[in-house]
Amino acid sequence: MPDPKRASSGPGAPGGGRHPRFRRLLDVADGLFDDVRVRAASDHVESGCAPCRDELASIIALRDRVADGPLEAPPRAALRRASRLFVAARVRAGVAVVQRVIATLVMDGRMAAAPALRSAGDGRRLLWTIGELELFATLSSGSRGALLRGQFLPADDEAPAPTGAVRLVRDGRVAVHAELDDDGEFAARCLMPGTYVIEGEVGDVAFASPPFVVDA
Amino acid sequence: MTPELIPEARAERDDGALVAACLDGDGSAWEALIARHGALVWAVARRAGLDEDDAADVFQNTWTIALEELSRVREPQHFARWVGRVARHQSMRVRRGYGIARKALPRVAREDIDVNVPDEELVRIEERGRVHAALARVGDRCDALLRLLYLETVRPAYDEIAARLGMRIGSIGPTRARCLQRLRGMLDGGGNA
Repeated sequence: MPDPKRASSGPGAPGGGRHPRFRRLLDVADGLFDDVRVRAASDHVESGCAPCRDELASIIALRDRVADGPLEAPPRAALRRASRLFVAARVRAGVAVVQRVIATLVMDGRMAAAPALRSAGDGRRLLWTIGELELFATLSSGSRGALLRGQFLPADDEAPAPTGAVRLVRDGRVAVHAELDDDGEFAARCLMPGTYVIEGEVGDVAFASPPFVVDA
Repeated sequence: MTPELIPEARAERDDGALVAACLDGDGSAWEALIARHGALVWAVARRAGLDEDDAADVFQNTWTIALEELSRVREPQHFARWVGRVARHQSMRVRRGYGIARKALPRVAREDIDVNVPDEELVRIEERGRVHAALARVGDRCDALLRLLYLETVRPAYDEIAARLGMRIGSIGPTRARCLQRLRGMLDGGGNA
């Protein structure tokens, strides 16, 4: 078989003539028969030189793959979801989380009164960013202490809800432990007044929030 | 492919090395596998006539299975073929779910649907993906020249190509040959261009 890397034509072939170089075979593949050297190369292949015929077929196949164009890229959201599978599997397998971050409080405001709650006017909305996640929470007072509802939201709306667990820590002691549900939500009830920190492991992140106060 | 997902250095690892790295807990290797073969999986699903939503489900299911079965892939160096078959199987399951409702596929021309996606077709899709991944690394000049010569619907005249690429007309032919030879060398040598 002719060496595609050779710089010059090779020895004679069964059908006569010299083995054409890669470039001439490519010219044949591209049908550039105006050049007498290309016609000679074509004649050589046609004369029965099996290695050159195979080489020409290989060149045509390569050229056709180029001409087929690139494959359509999958949507970026699909790529991100598939990429996150690995982290989810590590979490399921109990592998240690790979990041440890401090949550950043980006919103702390009052929320509209909720008639079902006795002291609804005390409600707050809180939003923390934790790496690429967001933790949105509402804190409202009730007859038996405060109620904190939280939900972890992925940066990509189409991504699955993060999995994991959180702890509410008051004065260095775990007051509440809660697993996230399928929607990435959790609730902590009957919170006594005090200064709390939310910490936990969600997705591949271990985090802790800055302290916040639950009033009496 | 999405080059931004995968640093070039990672792209140099072959599939066998990437599978091994995944099993060692290397998340970047997992991302590299997806970046390298995601288009293949997507193409198989779309070739099976699935719309974007169903293709996205097949994409996710395929990679979920790939992750779960990674330690049992008998020939990790041929991961592309293996994951392509998984994608084909998943696509067929979805297609069976379509039942007789061919009319439920308005966005796909009937002649473009190939439920079975035979092995030869898988190989062709895989090769196409490899060639174009290699083309992206063969050099800007070669990439631009080969695209102009072979990807344009109407091939531009050599004088136009010369003007667009700042080349002499006489160097187009030899450069084209060298570029294709280099491309073939990368495919033959790298295995995972």
